[in-house]
Amino acid sequence: MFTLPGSDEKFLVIFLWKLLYLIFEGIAFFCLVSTLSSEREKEWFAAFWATSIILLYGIYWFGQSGVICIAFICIGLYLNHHGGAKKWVGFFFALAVPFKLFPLLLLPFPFLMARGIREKSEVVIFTLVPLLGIYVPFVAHSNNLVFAIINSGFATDQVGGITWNWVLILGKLAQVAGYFALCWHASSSRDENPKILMRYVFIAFLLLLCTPRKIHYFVWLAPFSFLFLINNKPYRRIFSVIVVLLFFAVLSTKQTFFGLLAPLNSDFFMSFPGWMDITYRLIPSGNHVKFAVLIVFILMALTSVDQIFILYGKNSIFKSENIGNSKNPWRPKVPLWFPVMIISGVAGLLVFSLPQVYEPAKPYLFIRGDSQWYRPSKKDFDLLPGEALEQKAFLRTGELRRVGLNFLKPLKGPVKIEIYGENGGTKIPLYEKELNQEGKGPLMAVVTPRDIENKILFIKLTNTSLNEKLAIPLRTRSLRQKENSLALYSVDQGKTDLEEAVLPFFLIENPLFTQNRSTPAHEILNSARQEWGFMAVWLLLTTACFLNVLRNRKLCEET
Amino acid sequence: MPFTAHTDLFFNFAYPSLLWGEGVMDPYLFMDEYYSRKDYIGFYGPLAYFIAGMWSGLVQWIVGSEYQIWMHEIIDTVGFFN
Repeated sequence: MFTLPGSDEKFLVIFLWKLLYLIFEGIAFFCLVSTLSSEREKEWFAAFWATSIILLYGIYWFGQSGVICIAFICIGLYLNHHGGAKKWVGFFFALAVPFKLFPLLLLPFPFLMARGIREKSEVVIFTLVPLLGIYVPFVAHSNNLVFAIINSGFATDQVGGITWNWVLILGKLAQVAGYFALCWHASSSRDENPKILMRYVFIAFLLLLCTPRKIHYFVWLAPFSFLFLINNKPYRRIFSVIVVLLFFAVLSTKQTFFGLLAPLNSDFFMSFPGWMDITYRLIPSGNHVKFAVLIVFILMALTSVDQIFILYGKNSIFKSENIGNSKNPWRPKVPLWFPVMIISGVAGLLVFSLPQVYEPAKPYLFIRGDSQWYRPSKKDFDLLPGEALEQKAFLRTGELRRVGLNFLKPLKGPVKIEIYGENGGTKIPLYEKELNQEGKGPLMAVVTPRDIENKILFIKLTNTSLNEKLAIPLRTRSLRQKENSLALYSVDQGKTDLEEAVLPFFLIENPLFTQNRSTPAHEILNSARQEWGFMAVWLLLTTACFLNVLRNRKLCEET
Repeated sequence: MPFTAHTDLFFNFAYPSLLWGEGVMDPYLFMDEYYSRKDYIGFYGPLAYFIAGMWSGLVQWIVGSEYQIWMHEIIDTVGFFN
């Protein structure tokens, strides 16, 4: 991808994209901080915001856009806090919905809090106008495709199987009961304190995320949680545990782990296994994740219950403190450590990414982990009827996880795709299919996990049309692929080697440390023995993070 | 943090680049007509498309017209995420 025309500007583009998030984050921060009364509270709030690993990871490392709709919600809260009419609160809450759907949860609150028929009617109108004004043209024009993301593969991939079903059921019950309690309070309370709406928002998002999803979803909750962490030391401890467990339990794919650094060196960083690849290999049952999710659920539910108690005038389960009048000159220094740690870690990894340094470790990393970060320049090759292209690819570990072809555009004619291994001169077929993708979309063939004994794989593409030549988009063979040869089999000339070209195939293997599984203890020792270099880097980074957490905790306790 | 990125970042901005680049006002219909794999059709709400789309116009203005070529390559790769 970064070798395509225009990709020289990759860092500028990524910076500009994230600049948009920064603008909306600034709006959200300004709106929330202006609702705090004392300078001390503002200082603490800013410190929590600046040191939040959730915000840093979710918004800037990861690049998720949820902060934009959070900014709309914060504008609504700002207006509410400064005496704005409920109709405008409803308007800005509603404006967040056509961005992502989760703010739908908040729409009833301005309506329920409005007093009298006139004010309620205004809220309804100001809430419905942006919703209908934006959605109706799309529903009319493209039917219900505007809601397709709810049921698409993007949505259904997210929570499958990371926890016990009974935890999910408990979570749903807690969400329904808690949300009902919020709505009941909003409709019956005569409390005019503007902070009450912030509490509704905070509790609603606590309930929404009480069965944890992906880490970047917690960007939705984090800004509001800071408002309530300021004067509550137990909450700070609870949320610290939740953050650690989230990264332990929900950090999943390689793209969300070291793969985040792919813009620096896509082949290298996308070759690292994901955090879950490592932990699930050591604990194949997945119970470590299930327990972490359960603990997060218990802590979130406990905080929700405590907040609902406070809402209904009961005593909090936890002892609060008033930081507003505190004279302790706590000055957070953690922000200063973040850049130092990040730059040191990245510098270390970049040194490790030099071919001379990491060559010995190569078989232990995933090979060509993801195709989309690395796409060398292409050239079209005219494949005549009956001719075939055969790609030879060398594996490093032989434990094939996935292989396939990705042409980006549909080929304009029928082809036969064969993928096979070879053992002692005998072909071992893995995949064979005749396809005609004309007018259908990009072509792909995928093989499921297999062991290839002699570590050589062949991918053969034959033009099966009777008289049409096909334009096959080949890639330039990179230095990393120098051993992968491509041959043309023509009817009259036999086999011809095509220099400096490869078929657009992608190949993923499991690293060596995932093989030879026996007992868990043996596997840990074996993994540690084989991965000592990787473990050393990882241990160094986690130790630095852990020491920083301890130091931060000590600072908090001193205050 | 310009040296880190997740593929979701490209998802967030690749489709909206069509707003300025090709004048696509309805990304949902565009996806329906463009892709053969219907199970991966979908984008956030219309406002996400228009906000990121307007911003993409600015990015394109700064980076140059090749930004569009790059974004279209990314649109073509959707469905091939691991």
